[in-house]
Amino acid sequence: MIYDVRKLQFAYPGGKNIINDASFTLDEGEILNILGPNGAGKSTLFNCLANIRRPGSGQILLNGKPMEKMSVKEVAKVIGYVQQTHVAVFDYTVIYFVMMGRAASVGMFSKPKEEDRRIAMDALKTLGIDHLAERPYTAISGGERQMALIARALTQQPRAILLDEPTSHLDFGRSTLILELVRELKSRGYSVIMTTHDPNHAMLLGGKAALLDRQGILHVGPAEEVVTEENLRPLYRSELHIVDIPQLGRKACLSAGLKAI
Amino acid sequence: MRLAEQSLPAGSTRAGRTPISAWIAGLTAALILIVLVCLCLGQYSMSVGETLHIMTAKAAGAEPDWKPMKENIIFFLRLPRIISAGLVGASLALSGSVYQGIFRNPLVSPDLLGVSSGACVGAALSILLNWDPVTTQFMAFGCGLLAVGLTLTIPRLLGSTSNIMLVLSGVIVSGLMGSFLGMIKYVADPKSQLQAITFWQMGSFASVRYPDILSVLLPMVIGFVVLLALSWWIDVLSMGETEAKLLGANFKPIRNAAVICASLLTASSVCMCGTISWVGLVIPHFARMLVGSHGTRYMPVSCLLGACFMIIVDTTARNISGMEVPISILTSLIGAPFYIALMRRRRGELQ
Repeated sequence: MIYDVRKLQFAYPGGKNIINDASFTLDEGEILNILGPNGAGKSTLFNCLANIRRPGSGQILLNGKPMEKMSVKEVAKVIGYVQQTHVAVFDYTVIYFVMMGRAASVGMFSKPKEEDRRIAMDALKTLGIDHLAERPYTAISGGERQMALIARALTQQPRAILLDEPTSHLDFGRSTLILELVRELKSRGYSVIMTTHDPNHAMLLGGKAALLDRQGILHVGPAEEVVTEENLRPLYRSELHIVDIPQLGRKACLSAGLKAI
Repeated sequence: MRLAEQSLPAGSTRAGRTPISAWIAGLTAALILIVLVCLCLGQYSMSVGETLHIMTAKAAGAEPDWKPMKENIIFFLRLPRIISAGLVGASLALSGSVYQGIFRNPLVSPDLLGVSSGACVGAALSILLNWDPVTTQFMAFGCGLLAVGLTLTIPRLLGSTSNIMLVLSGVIVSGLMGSFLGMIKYVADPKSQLQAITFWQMGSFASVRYPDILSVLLPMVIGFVVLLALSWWIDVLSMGETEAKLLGANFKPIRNAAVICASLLTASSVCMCGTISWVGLVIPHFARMLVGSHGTRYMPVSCLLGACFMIIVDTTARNISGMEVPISILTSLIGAPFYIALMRRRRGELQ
């Protein structure tokens, strides 16, 4: 078991609990999609899972070990984190940027070796962006940067990949490609946790889904059981429908339309 | 998987494919040449051949067939100046590079955290109290490090040690030191002390002798060795604190080690020759322009370029007129237009 999360609670200093009760487990090769309305604390929960924030109470077992007792290096060898955006300051080449994923394995006062470069290059090939290796990171497109960020996470050789709204900056076509990539990662044995605003992502990817409601309680279960009209309507306070699309042979989540003026 | 769009045909990458060893070898050769030429230049000028002859013969222990004055000029006037100028140039350029990486800001210079202003206060206080020059150096070094220590302590007391707190704390400490310096200048004797303080603030290698170099050699060597060894890690730190940690870097220990070593370098420089502006800001840019932004490439290049630049500037300072020109006047005169040219080149990237 990669993740074993028990009764997580989190509050910002001086505030009330944002997260009241979050518990779930995640096995190797499993996907978990986290859905929730704006402001419910999706990002906060995600940051707790990524070791950026420390939960107020409860426990996260990573690979059976309590995460708070692990060093940043140990955590980085289990979790590869792909953030939404990365602001580039210096024009590192893509390969150099991706090689930074080796930080957990490179000794202090040392530099990445040929082996580390090979691992980074393999990650670029996996994502189909090896032709960008020597290009400055500042000179590639947003979609390519997203790929480079994922490649850097793979370079960590982690067991789990965490993606924070991976499609938020991508166009329609590229969003689908990212979902395909997530499925590919799963089939390679990575556990994947991602946050998303689109219930369709959870339905397309299957696996587990989790809804974080406005009380800070996380409801987890198989995607087809959790992502339902009854659950989503109160969650988003929106008149949405889950309908069968015969042409596609799948279900889709659609809003009822705009209110009449 | 073919997920990324086909991008433009691979253009020339600025990082360049020239191996870094070639750059280092070339720049080292340039440095040696510059040292040799600058040894010959001065009020009493000599030919390169003569200088070379004296140096090699002296090294071989041969009987002198030259005027002792020439030997004195080379070994006791010009060589210590050139060595110290080279060390200072390399130090300031390297600590500037390191600060720019850690604080993710290409506009940062080594005095960001108050080391120079602290050193100024120490030196000015010593001049005010009529202490001897050795004590003045010691005071500059000590107060420079003390100021950085204070900068590092304030965020700790406030319970938040993020980079932005550190930078703000640096602003506070620099401001505080500025007012101390103002007070010292206000009470200083305008005829002798005030002039000495002002001259010290503008930097000069005129009075540097071998013992001065020896006394700061150890902290300088420590600074160079540690920072060059950390060059890749400083690039990892330039990803920002959260990201660096997620990648598995121990952010704060590395940052603090780098800040302390960069401060050692700057404090050592300042106590040898006073404060020198612009070098730590401009040279790292120039190095990045030549060999790309990878720390493992541009940091050593930055050191060599800084050394070359400073030796040339100091030689200019002692030759341009009958009297010594303070170094900072020249570095600012050269640095400012150079910086404008750099900004023009990179105007698209800097927003």
